[in-house]
Amino acid sequence: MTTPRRFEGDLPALLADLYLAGMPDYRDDLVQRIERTPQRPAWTLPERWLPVELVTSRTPAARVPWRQIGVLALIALLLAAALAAYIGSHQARLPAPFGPAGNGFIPFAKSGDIYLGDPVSGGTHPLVTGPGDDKSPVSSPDGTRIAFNRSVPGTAADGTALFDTYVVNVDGSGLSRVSFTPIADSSRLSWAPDSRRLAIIQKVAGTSGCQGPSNCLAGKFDLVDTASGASQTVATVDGLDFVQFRPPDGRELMYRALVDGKWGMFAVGLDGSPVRTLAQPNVPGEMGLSFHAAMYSADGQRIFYEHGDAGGCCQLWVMNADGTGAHEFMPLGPAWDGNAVPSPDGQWVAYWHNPNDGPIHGISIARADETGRLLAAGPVLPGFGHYLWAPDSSKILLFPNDGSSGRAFLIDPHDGSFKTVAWDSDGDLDWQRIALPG
Amino acid sequence: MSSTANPVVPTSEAAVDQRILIERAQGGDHDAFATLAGESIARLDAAARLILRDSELARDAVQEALVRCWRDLPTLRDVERFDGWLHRLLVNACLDLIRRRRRRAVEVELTSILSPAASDFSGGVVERDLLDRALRALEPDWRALVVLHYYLGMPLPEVAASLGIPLGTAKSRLHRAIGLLRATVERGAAVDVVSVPEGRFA
Repeated sequence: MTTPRRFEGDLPALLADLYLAGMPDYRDDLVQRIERTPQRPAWTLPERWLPVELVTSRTPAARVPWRQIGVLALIALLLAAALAAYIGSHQARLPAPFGPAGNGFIPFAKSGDIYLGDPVSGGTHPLVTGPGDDKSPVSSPDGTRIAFNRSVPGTAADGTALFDTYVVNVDGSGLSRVSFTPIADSSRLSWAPDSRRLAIIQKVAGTSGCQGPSNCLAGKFDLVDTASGASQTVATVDGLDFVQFRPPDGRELMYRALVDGKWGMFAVGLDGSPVRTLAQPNVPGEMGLSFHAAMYSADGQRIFYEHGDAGGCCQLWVMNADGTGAHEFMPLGPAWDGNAVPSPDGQWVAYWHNPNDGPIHGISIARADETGRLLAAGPVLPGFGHYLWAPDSSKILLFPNDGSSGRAFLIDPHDGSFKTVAWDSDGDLDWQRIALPG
Repeated sequence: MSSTANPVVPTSEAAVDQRILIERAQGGDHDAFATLAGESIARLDAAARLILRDSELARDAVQEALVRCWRDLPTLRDVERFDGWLHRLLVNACLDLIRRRRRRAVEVELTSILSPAASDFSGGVVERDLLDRALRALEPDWRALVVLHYYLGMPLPEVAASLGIPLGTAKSRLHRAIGLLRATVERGAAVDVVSVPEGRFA
């Protein structure tokens, strides 16, 4: 029998032996292609290609303008005070958990602290600071609280990072830890529609249908009451990695799971009603993006999801919430599609749409009823990003996770134009929902 | 069995030469970049084939990575990080190809797995077949993790950064991936002939 250490030690040589590295026959073609390709100028976009410290260090030395600094500091203090007052005064009425709402602040993480940013004024306000390494802030549906993860020293037995989950009121008060024991390798936090419970999915050892290491994992779905700290394990299911509460009341939720090593999509009522099959489990387990990150439409009547089959992955599909009527969403020829995010007003769907398998990626916006034209919106990215709609559906907030920008983009869904927000962040942004005016 | 246990560690003299070539290429010198590309293209091609399990896709990924490398080279501030940066471009190109793959004809290859008397990795075709099969069982991003660390010799923190995952997650996945590879190879002794679907990526 081979020992683990010996296998690891042999692996570099085994891999090298698997494909002997000879000179590929396309080297000359590549050289010709490069001769036709212009280089990107090094200094034309310093804010994009250089770290902040380098840009600032190149600023010519000048006399320190203490007077201007004083005035700016005073303005900043006044803005911060106004921001805090605004936060406190705008939550008398609360928005419904689904559908359109007013635009509040954008919670974001930066250097281990949690901030609130004002997308209109560009001002920011520290919410949770200190030595803790805090990340992944998520606003409750009623906009009153922020949940986030804080790194815990050490790792789980299998080496995964550990987090505690905290909740804080949006005015900075009431900071409390809600996880009794550290959470290992948690997926993104999400709130239940009641804004009282948190849905937390942790990966645990799976039981069947292993087609690859990640598919050997099961998801343990807990609902944690943020008031009492009581945790209820709802289910532990092979392959489970997300749940979506169904509008308009959140009494049902949707998820994907592996059955005998094949992906399917299911729904279950939180009242104990039996599981309904939305898509039969017949997609091979190695196609790990199938049904990934499926989303309900704003009215809860339809489900948008990524679909892969024996021909490849992925296209955007849509089905009725009872599993009927599945079809490709606006088939427009060869393209790679995915990650649909419906707008809260129910009018639009934003998704990655990359015609002809292009080397760059961008968001496109289509009418949710599949009529009209597709609008390419926002910047094109060399990699991918995380995006969400403003609560009032007037903007899309996109944060690239390919390292191409430290600032999120605000995209106008009507004409595709975009600008950046006024602050740097480490990603994981969300958007606070507040009651609509009037 | 080949004994090329660490195929990518450059000598200090080579590193100096490489630095000069990178700086010249940053200034737009096509010949310098052609030399750089020529030095790395074989290992990039092998790494891409290990990740993608498809020589045509690997060709596309390597070309994409090297064209991006040429295009963006003037923006690389620290030339000492050229290799890591190039490997990151390659793995991004590989994973992009996998994500964007669409309606490609499914090629089914029947891979005959011989049944060795004992699972010994000391050498031979059987071991290669078993490892090949074990790699196919991994998802592409897990294969990328294994290839970056064990084939290209990248330190794990750099691998984690390249794949956009936390270091703890990278450690955990690598631990599980190695366990699965080892288990699959060891189990291979008792497995009959199997069919392995090619060209189906998540």
